[in-house]
Amino acid sequence: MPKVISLKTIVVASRENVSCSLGDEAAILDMRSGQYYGLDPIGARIWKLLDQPKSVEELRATILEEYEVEPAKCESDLLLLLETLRTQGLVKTCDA
Amino acid sequence: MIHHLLGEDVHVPKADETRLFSHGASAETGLPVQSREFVHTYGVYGVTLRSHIRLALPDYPGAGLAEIELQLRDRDYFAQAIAGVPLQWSRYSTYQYALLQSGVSYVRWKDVGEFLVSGDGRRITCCPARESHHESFQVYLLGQALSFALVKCGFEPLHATCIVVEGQAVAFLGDSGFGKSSLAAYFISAGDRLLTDDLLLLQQRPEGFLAYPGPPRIKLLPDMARKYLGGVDGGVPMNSATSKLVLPLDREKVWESPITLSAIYALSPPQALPDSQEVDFEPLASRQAFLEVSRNTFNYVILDCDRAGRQIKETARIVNTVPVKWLLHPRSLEALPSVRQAIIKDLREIAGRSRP
Repeated sequence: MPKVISLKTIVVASRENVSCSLGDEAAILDMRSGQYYGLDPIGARIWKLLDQPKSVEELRATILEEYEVEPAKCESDLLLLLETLRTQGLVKTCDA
Repeated sequence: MIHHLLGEDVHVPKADETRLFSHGASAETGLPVQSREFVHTYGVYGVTLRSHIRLALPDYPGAGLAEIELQLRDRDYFAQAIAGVPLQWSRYSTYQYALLQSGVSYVRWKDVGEFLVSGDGRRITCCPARESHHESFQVYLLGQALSFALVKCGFEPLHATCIVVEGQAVAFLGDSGFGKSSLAAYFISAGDRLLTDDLLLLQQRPEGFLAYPGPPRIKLLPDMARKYLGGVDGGVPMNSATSKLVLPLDREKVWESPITLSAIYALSPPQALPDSQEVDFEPLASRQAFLEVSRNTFNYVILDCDRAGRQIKETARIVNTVPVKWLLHPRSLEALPSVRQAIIKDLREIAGRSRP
C-alpha cells in the first residue's frame, strides 16, 4: 500500500462495505465496524467511480470535466477525501 | 465530503391443541417432534400464518408475501433445544436470545414465553409462560418473535405506528414512550383507522411503498384508552414492567387492506420540545431521513452481512420514495386536534405535489 496517495495511485472501493444512493448523496456501511458514513453529492459521484479501480489522475479528470472547480482545489480535495476513505478502510490503494 | 452518520455500531397462550397426525424431527433442533395439522389460517402484515394456535386475528387471508407456520411445543422441548447454549441479553435487557445450530433463533421473554424461529424464518415454535395472558403472549408472538421470522424471510420491518387519515397512510416513528400510540389513539377517536401499531411492513410497488395491516389491537396506557377509546374493555396488561394495556380494536377502527404509505413522521423525545412548541414539520434531508428510518428498523439482533446489505438498500429506497419529516408538536393532549389538522393539511399538500 502506498504511504501517500498520489495522482498515480490506483484506488478502488473495498469489498467490506455496502453503499446506497440517497438522492444525489450516498451512505456507506462498513460491514466490519458497523459504522455508517455519508457522502455529499460530489463525494457520492467519486464513490461511484471507485466501483472499479481508477487512478487518482483519472478521477481528477472526470471531476474536472463534470464540475466547475479549480484544478488545484479539485486535486487537493480529492486527495483529502481518498486519504480519509483509506483511513476508514473504505478504499484500497496500490501503486500503478 | 465524508461524514459519520452514526456514532455507534449498527445493531443493528393458552392455545388450542389440535390433533396429532404424524411424527418427525424438528427443523429447528433435530429433536423428535410430533407434527400437527394447522387448523387456523390468518393474514397479518401481508403474510399468511398457518397456525396450531387460535389467534385474535381476523380470518382474512394474507397478501401472500410469505407463509409462516406457528406451532406449540412444551417447556421440555425448549429446555432441550437450548441445553448448554449461553443466552445473551438484548440491548435493553428486555429479553434473552441465542443463535442455535442451522441458524435457528431462540428468544425468551420472562413471564411471556419462549420462541424458536427456524433459519429460513418459515416456522415459529412457541411456548407461553405459565403466567402469561393469551393477549399479551400474542403481542410478543406477532411483534418481536414474528420480526425474527420476517427478517429471515428477507423483509425489513420498521418500528412504527401507522394510521390511515382521510384515505392516506402515515407512519409515526419514535422510540417507546415518544407518543406514537397516544397519537394513534387520538386519531382513532377522531374517526381515522389504525393500520398497525408497533411493527410496520412495507413493500415497494410501482405506485410507492405499500404498508400492510397489523393485528387489530393497540398498546396504550389506561388513561389514554379511557380518554380516546371509551374505556379499557378487553384490555389486558402487556407485561409486568409497564401499565400499558393491550386493547383489541373493533373492525371499524382498523384498516384491513394494504395501502400506499404517503408520509413518515419522526417524533422527537417528549422532553426535547418546549410546551410552547407550535405544531410544525421539518423535512429531513436524505441523510437525516436515512438515519431516522435506520434507527427504527425492527429487530436489532439479527446482524449478518446479508441483512445489513439489504437493510441499507431498503432504507435508501424508502427515503428516496416517501417524504420523511420531523413532527414537532407540544406534548399536551389539548394539542392533539391541531396535530391532526396539521397532518391532514400536510398530506393534502403531499398529494397535490404527487399529482401529474
